[in-house]
Amino acid sequence: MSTKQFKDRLPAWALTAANLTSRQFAQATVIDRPLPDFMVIGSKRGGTTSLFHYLIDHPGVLGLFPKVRGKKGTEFFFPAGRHTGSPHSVNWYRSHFHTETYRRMLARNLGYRPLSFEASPYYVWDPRTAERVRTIAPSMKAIVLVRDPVRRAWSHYQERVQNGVEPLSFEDALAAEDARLEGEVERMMEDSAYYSPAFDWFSYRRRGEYLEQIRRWHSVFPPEQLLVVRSEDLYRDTQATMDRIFDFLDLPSASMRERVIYNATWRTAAAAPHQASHELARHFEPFNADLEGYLGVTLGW
Amino acid sequence: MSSPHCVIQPGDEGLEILARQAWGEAIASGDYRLVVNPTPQSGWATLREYTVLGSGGRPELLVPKASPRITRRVLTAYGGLRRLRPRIARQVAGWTAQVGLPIGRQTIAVQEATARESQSLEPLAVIEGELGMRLVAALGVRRGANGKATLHLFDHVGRPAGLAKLSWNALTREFIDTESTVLEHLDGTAGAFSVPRLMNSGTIGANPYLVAAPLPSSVRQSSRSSGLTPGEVTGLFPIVRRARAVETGQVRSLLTRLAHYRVGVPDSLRALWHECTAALSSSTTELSVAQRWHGDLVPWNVGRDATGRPWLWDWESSEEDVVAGLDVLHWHVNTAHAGRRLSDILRPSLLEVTTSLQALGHGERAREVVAALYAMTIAERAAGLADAHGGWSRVRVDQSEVGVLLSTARQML
Repeated sequence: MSTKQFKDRLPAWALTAANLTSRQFAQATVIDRPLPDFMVIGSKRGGTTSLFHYLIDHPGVLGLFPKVRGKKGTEFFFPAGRHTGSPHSVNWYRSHFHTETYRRMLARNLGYRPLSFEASPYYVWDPRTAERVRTIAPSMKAIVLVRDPVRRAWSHYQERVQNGVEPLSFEDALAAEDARLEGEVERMMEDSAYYSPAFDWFSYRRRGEYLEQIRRWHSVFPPEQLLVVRSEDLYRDTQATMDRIFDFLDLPSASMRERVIYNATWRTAAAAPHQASHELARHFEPFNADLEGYLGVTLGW
Repeated sequence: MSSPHCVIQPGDEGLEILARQAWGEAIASGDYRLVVNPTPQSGWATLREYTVLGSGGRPELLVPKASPRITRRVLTAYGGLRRLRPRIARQVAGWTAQVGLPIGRQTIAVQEATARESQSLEPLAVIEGELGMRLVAALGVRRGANGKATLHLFDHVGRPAGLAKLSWNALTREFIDTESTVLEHLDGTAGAFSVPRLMNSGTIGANPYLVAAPLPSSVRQSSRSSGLTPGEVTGLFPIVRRARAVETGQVRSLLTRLAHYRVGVPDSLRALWHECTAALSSSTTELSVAQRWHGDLVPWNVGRDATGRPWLWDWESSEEDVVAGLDVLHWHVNTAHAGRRLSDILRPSLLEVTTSLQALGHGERAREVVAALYAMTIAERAAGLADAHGGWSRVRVDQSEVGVLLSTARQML
């Protein structure tokens, strides 16, 4: 029986009790728990879940504590309005990462200190996140996946439909995006705790305008602390791309065992509506060109 | 009722209302009468009898006199749709009936003249003929301004067989006609919801009626605090176009009805109505327009069956071609702010449903127009009820509240 199967059989109260107990233990030992070494910050529907699983496949990379919960992110840097209850403390955040004691034990066999990380595709999207991260972890490294923005938008839309929150057609949703997002960024900048579901859920086109998001991260962190990876490279040449990532993280290369694509939507195989795709592609042309110029690479979208 | 054929005493207000709603035309024909605690009398035959149940001396429910087993099943059907106290009361009454003890002191008999030659105007007899089955029915007493007789139908062994609604005046005739048309059009589904199918419709005398298919016995009110997910509410009907509010069928109908009201639009509110309708008509804001709205999306019209699938009933207020978001607001004010005056909670509600209205494609300005239109829609309903009843005494949303709603709408427009 897999861990997931075991967890699925447990009653809700038992899971809650286990979560509370493990979190309390972790917070009691927080003095031995450092902040994460790096983060995967985006983009949504760009392969962050797959990258998370490929990373923890490396012997020198640790996911969140406790591993059995199977979560890839803490949502610590989400605005406070996204959560119920009191805002979480930095100690709460640190409680999600493995102790230095545990890492020293692993290091005896590895020959190097293993790294811990979390992943949340929301982080690169919210304009306030970079500054929040810098405030507590100025040396944090980050990885952002950038995917063909037309495919990303379509995948994002399908995911929202699958989640039951998108009532419009793809074409209508794109047409309504500006109206849906109207005023939301201003509200977010005025109120640090404000979380905008519309900004998070319905940003199909704007989230594919990557340059603004990368520039924003670069305005807070030195360029050498951010690695931009093409999602298509991650899927077409997983080993080579992961080697590049491991090098960025100062980790030795490791042979990839898993090549599964995670978190695919149920309609991944269906192509985006032709006309909408064509119009999106035209919209993204100048944005992609600017991004290529900024990064000094050819994206091939 | 002041009729020699309705032996319900003045003062039996609930029974008078129910008699008028369910048997008014039959009684007026002279071939039928209702008798409380009947004794045999020549020239009249009892068609069916009911036990009157109520509390505090007010009749609430007519339960068919039938076998103990059927009576128990009638009383306890759809317990999941009732609050705890009435559910318990019905269970106790059901057990009482099961052991053969009387459940109430008052009996009403529906009697038919033995010399009757004309077509039957007794509602249950007509419905039995149309459906081709023997039925018993329970009737609730509805005292509201838009009250109509609702017959919960059960077959010969006490299984739910449908829900019949009877019209009795111009207002309820319109409700029944609307619901019949809508149920036929929906044919069992609306978005994520199951909808009772239309089994039968027709007229009893001059008054339309409908029979909707029974809900699954397992249907119960949702235990979740909000009852429905935002996605279920926003996904009820598709967005079909974008247009200004005044270009939608729902607003055009609203303005047409408003123009004919006399009692419903008193002098004290005439200027406010004029300002609001002029502002709405001149608004250039483009809005998402839905194929239809339910019109009364509230917790007591919603339930979930054993599979978790939501069911939605009572479609008499449904309208086509409507600004998207009215169901969202109506659901929200009747759940998050149940029992509070709409004028007090309209603006906070608008903020609270922002994400749902954004999901429907509305920007900031459009959301204000949606909220204004919702306020005007509720105000117009109140005006319509007042006009139908010749006064405001039975209308829950009073003139003062209508005034505040219109003022708020005007500001939002």
